[in-house]
Amino acid sequence: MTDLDLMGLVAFVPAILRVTTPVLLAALGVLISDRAGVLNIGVEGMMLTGAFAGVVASAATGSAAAGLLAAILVGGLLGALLAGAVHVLKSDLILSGIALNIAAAAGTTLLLFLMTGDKGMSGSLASQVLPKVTIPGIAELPVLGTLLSGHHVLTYAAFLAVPGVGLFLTRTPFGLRLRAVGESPESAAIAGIDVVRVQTVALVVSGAFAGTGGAFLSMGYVSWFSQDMSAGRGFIALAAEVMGHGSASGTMFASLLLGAAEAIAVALQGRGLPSELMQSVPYIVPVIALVVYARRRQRRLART
Amino acid sequence: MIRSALASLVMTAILLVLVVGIVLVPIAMRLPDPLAVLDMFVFGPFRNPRHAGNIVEMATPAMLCGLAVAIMFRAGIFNLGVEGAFFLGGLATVATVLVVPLPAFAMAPVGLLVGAVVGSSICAVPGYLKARYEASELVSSLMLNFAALFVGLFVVNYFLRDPAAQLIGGLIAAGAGGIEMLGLYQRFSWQSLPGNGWTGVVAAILARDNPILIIPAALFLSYLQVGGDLIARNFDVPSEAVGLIQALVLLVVTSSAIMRNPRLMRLVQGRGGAARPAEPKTAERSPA
Repeated sequence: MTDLDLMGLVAFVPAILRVTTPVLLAALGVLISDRAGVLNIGVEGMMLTGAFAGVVASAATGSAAAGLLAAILVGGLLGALLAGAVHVLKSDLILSGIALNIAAAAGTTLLLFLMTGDKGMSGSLASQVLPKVTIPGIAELPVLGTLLSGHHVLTYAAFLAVPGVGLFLTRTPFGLRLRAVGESPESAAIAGIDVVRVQTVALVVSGAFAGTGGAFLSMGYVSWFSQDMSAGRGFIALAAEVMGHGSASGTMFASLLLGAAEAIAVALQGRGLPSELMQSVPYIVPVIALVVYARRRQRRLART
Repeated sequence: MIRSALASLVMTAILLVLVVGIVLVPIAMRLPDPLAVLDMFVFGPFRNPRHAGNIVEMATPAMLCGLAVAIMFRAGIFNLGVEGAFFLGGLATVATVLVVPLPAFAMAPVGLLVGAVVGSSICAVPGYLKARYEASELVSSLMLNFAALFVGLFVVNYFLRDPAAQLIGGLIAAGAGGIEMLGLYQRFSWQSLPGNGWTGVVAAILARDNPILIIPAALFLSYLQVGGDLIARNFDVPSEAVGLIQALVLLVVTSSAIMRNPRLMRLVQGRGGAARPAEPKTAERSPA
């Protein structure tokens, strides 16, 4: 490989990290909910609402940090609502998640219209964006500078959260209880674990992660909110979590794979390939990856 | 048995009225004449025969999507590819009628057949992957919905756009009598997923996966849609309010704490139901 190719690849890394960030954040949220036995299908709607809350709150306060906080809180609140639907109303988990997604798509459009008179975009709101982080001392280095410095603050947050979530699930008492609930709610309840409380906390945290991913979309990826801007990224995050089979690092590698596929598709779009076909790539790759993964698992099972 | 089925119907009806009220009243209160908004939403669809006809028109795809969802849910499969199937089916029908030279009488049946075959692939692929590889049909069907949208837009923009402008009116009119695309529209006009698949999910749940009940469920949901469109056209209210109603309907109707609440059941059934033992299965569905 020539130096030129290598530099091209290095320059491509920030693009991959950029599209991976929202998917990774949401996928970590899905992971926590899944390990607690309450797979969060509402992650798509939570992301969308988080993106909306970030724009509205940062425009109202003039502070990007307040926008991020609002996105996290709203995501957590929706997680609590989903937990309430499952545990208080005793609704079906998957269908409640779908209902949440429908309500989020309709509700954000409705609120955007009530606030701005526009159904499509938040252009008239003076919302803020979260900063990029330049690491002094590393930013000046030739290759490492591009790889490690100058990314969005939430990109760092997402990748730092991976070991955080991993350690939380495997090393903390609450994480162990959470996984016990996910493995078998009945046995966990007999062992004296408050299943409802654990699953509620898991969904709230899951929603907070999804809300953060949404904040990245409207306060980093772009600087505005637009109708349905999550565009299935929450569902891609679901796929990433399934591909990562239950571990935080696996979820990260799956998110990076899907992010790389999307980044390549975006780059090829610029080279004149049909944009519609390239836009479908991030949704087709997870299906192929799921099949490859499932085949490998089947072969392994057949051998033993 | 009949009595409890009736009670569940009555309860569903009461809940639906409540849900519509909870969403619509606050939105209407914001406007100068809230009563006119509610009146337009509730009675508007019946005042004009054309609007009443719209209900039936819109209910047709919702019924078929609802049936599709009910069949899969009954089999215990959470395949949510109906949305993409509906989109791609509509597109394939139009593409067939446009591109393939067919005699006028054959256009509608052949177009619909091709649409059904192509559209169903969005549901069939996740089904196959589940059966063959045990890959989650929930995730793969959600992914393929979006893939269908973008591949569909590619076909529209690269292969259909030019001839479409000239040919579509006459050809589609000639093949009229079909479903949604052939029946409701003069041209292929979707640039995003139209949402009928999700309406189908709500219809199927509202009907408790019962094929007969899907007919009134779909009619009710499209009545809401027509009412929503009417107030959107006449007042300063986006029709998205209907999405909120759909979401609440989905939530409330699947809630066994509400639908199987023994006290509420007795209340609806009247004195006769009081002697009945309380429904024992309220918490049988632990989250998987």
